Amino acid sequence: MEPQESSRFTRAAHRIAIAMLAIGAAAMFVFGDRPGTHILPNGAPVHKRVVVSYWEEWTGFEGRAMEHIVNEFNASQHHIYINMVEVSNVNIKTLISTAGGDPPDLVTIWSGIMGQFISYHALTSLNTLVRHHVVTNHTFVPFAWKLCAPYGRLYGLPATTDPNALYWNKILFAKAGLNPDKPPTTLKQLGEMAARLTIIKSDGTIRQAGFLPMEPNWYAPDWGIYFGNHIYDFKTGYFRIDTPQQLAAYRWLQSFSKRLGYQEVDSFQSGFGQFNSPLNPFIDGQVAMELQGPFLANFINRDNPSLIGHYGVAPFPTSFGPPGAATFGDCDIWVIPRGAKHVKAALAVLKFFIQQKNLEYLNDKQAKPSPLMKTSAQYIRRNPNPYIRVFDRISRNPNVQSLPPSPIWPRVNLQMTVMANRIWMGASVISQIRHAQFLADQWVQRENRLAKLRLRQELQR
Amino acid sequence: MNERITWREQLAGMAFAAPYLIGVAAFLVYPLAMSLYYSFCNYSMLQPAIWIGWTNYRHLLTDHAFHTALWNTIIYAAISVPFTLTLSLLLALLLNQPMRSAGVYRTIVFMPSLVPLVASALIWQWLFNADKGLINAVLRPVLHVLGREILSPLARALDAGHGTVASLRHIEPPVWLGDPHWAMAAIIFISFWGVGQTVVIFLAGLQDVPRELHEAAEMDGAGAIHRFFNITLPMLSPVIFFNLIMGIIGSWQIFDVPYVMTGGGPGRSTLFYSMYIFEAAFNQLRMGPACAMAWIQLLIILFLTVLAFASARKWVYYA
Repeated sequence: MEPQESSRFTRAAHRIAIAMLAIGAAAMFVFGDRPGTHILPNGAPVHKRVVVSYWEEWTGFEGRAMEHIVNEFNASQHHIYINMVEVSNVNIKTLISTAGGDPPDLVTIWSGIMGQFISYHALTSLNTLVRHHVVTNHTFVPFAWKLCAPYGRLYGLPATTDPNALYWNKILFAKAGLNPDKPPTTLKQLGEMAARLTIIKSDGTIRQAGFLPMEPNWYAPDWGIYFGNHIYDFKTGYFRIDTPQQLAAYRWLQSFSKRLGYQEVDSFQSGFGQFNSPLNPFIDGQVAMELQGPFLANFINRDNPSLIGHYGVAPFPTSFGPPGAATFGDCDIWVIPRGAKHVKAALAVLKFFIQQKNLEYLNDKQAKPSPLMKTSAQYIRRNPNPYIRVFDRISRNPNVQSLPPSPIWPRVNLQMTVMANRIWMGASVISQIRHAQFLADQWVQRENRLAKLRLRQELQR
Repeated sequence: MNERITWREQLAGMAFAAPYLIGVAAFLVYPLAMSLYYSFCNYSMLQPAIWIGWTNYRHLLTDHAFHTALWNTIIYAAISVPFTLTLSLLLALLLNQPMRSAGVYRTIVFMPSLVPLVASALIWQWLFNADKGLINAVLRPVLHVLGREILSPLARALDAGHGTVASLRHIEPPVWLGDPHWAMAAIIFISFWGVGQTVVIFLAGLQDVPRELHEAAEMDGAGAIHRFFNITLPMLSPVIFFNLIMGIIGSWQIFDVPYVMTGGGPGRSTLFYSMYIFEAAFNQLRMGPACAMAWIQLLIILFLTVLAFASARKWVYYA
């Protein structure tokens, strides 16, 4: 290329680059997001309002329920506007945005991450709500309060609660010659009934299972609860995995795979569909009894209405007391991440969210019991879950256990799931739980050492 | 002709290169440097990093899950890379034959590579379904006939125990994704599904092999097999080498398919290296060990690549 041509080319390229940048800047100016560009549901623009960015973990009908409350709030006053976004994988995204210093003002998170977020100071304390008597430790059901304020200081507010209970299929009970109105009241009875409800085909494969402790796999680390174990020591921060109760629990779990054959069960389970689909094994009658949360009722209503009235819900049996003497419960929790830009406005939003009518509306739509201790009669009547009274009673039980508020819980939880899987496949129960205990102890000690090191460094600074 | 570059041209050159250089510095060099630093720190992302020296690396020596992930990845790479290369080469040789509708066959072989990995993982999940999957639907009658008509009578003739004879009469296909032994086999098998890209590269290489070499060898009386081993393979060796390097890198980074299909189970039998890094970093907030693992992964891949380059002197022929 001649020098003259070259400089002509450079000039042309310059002009193109500048023109492209100018077009980009103009487009951003015209179409870009600016404060005050949010639109109210009635079409009016939001002027001079504080915009609270809110990440909601649910999509679908659960998300719609939350959206309704958000719209109510936005229409109720002229100072704050909630910009709600439904976010998948909300825990990881909240973590990354908090680490990056640009979190949303308000998030609904899964409770599994509370321990890490609290331990690593990633949440804004909500104690101001306690100081101003907006909430007390008697406002919410005990296990929900414990999840939000595990060591006395409040870091979140419960949005919904999911205590577990036993679902049983009355049609299958009747077919097996069992009283359809009498669920098992002891774990021994549950095993016996499960055996009667299980149907094996002539070729040895399973056609119907009475009860499968590994269906679904979510509750694999929690079976010790029904044998009287408390997995977490709140005083020491250590885990109790190799206790006699755990040993009994996982021997009991293994007895099912020994009886049915884990390969046969696995083959049978591989035909199950998604939890929230008509191919859910309880919904389509492949499994007669199941440990589940209240939300299953919503999917029964939607995917197999013919089952309504033909299934029952009762507290799950325990080895050491009456059914429901202990169970597992979980929550969706509203939190304000550290670094949120509109904390005051977010607190005002939270005050609105936890009003009785709003919490009841949200939990109604999700077929769950309200986290509030005080509930209205119409809420119980209106709830689409026919067994809402049972779940409501269970959730008020002080013996409901929830996820440990430990920063290493996700690691221990995973190890315990692997442990349960291996036990299910025939591994030695003792060696598996001892191994899990050994690892958990090691991780706690390591975490404690690091916490001390961090404290020392902070003091030096 | 004046060959000196004016300052204006220098400025223009730098301005044009700047977006790339800034991008590389911001999104590659800086994260690499920080990940190396964090690999020597306790870092949860939510609190400032604390320097702990070699502790993360030392703890990995006793981390059972890390050993499992490392071993699973070694097994996967050791089996899938050579098999994928061989299969791709065989397919390329077939597709390189003069035939009608060659383009259609080539498209068919390449098409699976266009399917997003998550989508193909979901499809394979159903294909491998033990109860209702297509693979077992085909295998089941075959195994039943094989057991009933051949293996069971054979066992009886050999005076095997009654239990053996009876069990051979009802051979069931594997519970692919629920059995720790078969789950890994299934994941390896799926790696063959995406051979399309490797086949295309081999095809291009095959078409570059000079025709006259084949014609000369043919005139000298060399048969097809001789020509393949003495002409095609040596001429193709740079392409095989390239595919080998890409295969090694790809196999050590496997993530999507096992993450969707098995989540690492059953009992961590399909937990792969990259999956464990993700688990440690984003679920357990152990960014330090995750960065340490990432650097070990980089060093392993680097070592294998250097090894491949060192061996290349002996078997790669650059015409």
